[in-house]
Amino acid sequence: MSVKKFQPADRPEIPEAVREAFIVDIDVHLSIKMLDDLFPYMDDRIVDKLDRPWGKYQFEAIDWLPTWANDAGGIGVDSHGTAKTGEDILAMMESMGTDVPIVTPGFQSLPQVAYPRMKEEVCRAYNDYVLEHVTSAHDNIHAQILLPLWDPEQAVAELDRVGSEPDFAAAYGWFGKFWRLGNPEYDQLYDKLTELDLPLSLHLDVASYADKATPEGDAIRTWIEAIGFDPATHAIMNTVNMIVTGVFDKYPDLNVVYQEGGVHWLPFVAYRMDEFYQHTPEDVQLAERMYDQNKKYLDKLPSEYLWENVKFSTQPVCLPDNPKHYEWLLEMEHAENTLMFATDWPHSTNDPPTWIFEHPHIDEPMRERILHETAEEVYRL
Amino acid sequence: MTEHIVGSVDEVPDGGVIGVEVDGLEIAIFNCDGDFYAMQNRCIHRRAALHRIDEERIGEDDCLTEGPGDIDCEKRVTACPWHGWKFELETGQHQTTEKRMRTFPVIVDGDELRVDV
Ligand code: FES
Repeated sequence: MSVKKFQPADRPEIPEAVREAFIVDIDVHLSIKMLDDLFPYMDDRIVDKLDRPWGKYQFEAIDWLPTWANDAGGIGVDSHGTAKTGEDILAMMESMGTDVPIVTPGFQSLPQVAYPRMKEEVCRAYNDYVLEHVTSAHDNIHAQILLPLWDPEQAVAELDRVGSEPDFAAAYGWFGKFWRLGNPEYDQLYDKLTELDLPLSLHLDVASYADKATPEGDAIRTWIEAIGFDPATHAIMNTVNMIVTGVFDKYPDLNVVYQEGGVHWLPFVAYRMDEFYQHTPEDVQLAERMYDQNKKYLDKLPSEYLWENVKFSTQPVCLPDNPKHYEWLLEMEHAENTLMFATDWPHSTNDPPTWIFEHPHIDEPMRERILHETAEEVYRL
Repeated sequence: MTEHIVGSVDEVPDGGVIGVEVDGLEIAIFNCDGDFYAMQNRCIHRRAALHRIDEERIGEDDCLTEGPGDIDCEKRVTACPWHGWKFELETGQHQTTEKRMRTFPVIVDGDELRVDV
């Protein structure tokens, strides 16, 4: 591992326990408004279309976005600042007491943009930009490779191009409504990821709530529904889809990380998957991956893949009012192996690290697992 | 209750806030048009320090939205810098629920600010 304790400037406002701990933050966002910064890395034909009034409309407009909930910060994406460079990330590390930030791209609207070639160019440009302007600032700053996840072949091509760069600790995509990653077309991506020893990190995309053209989507009125819950339904469905179509039977070393997909649904999904699998397993063999391998059943109970191959950001932490209940949740969620600390800086939904030090039912070994040990096992650091 | 000197009126800018400590208690002092308010300086949600509203953000020039937090002197309400929970300056009442921050009387004596704890 090339990372070691980052020595933040002397900031008395950061609690001593936070300053002294080794903290890997797996979700530190770059600005959502940096398309212009990528122009020097992009094909002129595409820059020509983007660099004009309303040229970036598809990247910025969301099919339905309830921005009226939070008048202190609009949609709250930069309520605590914004970062575009490695120097900005260093300042964030100093202000938050972070040792290793895993930098997250700001392009959460990319899945909805209509032009694949344009989007692929954005991915390439971002990956080049982040190596030149962000990770270069310090050995501890690591980034995630922005993948054109809508096209598994293109995703593999991008991994062929930059996947060996040591400053990338993960490959990055989204778990929203546009695809399900149990689709066997993604096997070529999983082959490549396991070869490169990279986890696949999936973040909510801001267009991942239900389609406005459906009754469910058309009924949404609030930020609570749109960002608080619809993404979690996609995280659940994508997780179950990958497990029961045999992704982790075929790729036992593959790790999938959910950033901001929620966590407390884990017990329900674990118990429900196992219950259904034991009652009614006979169609599992018909999933293409299972069928093509002539496999009738999974190698293990579905919940075992959940505990071994799938990881989750602690943010949104959703602490129960009764601290004891959080202790039970951590136990039911196998937190020592599944949870990795994240702030979601600089968004208004952020979880600064104080909770993990102040909670009466998080002991030292659990804190160490969540703050850095699991992340060191999962990410290519 | 005991009155404690916490500073002078010109140390708290109009529309601003400072953090002070009284007998180990962290207290935020707000100034709205010369009216001063004192409230516990640890948010009841996740213990953010309210006075950090005034901190400059990283990349301020590129930020699209206001933040972190807010002091709305017209409504006499402050929004916490971490997640924006809103509290009435006068009563400490959280606007959405029955929860409440502890508030303290402020005494202005000439230039001197005192808080009754
Ligand atoms: S800490 Fe104050 S709103 Fe969360």
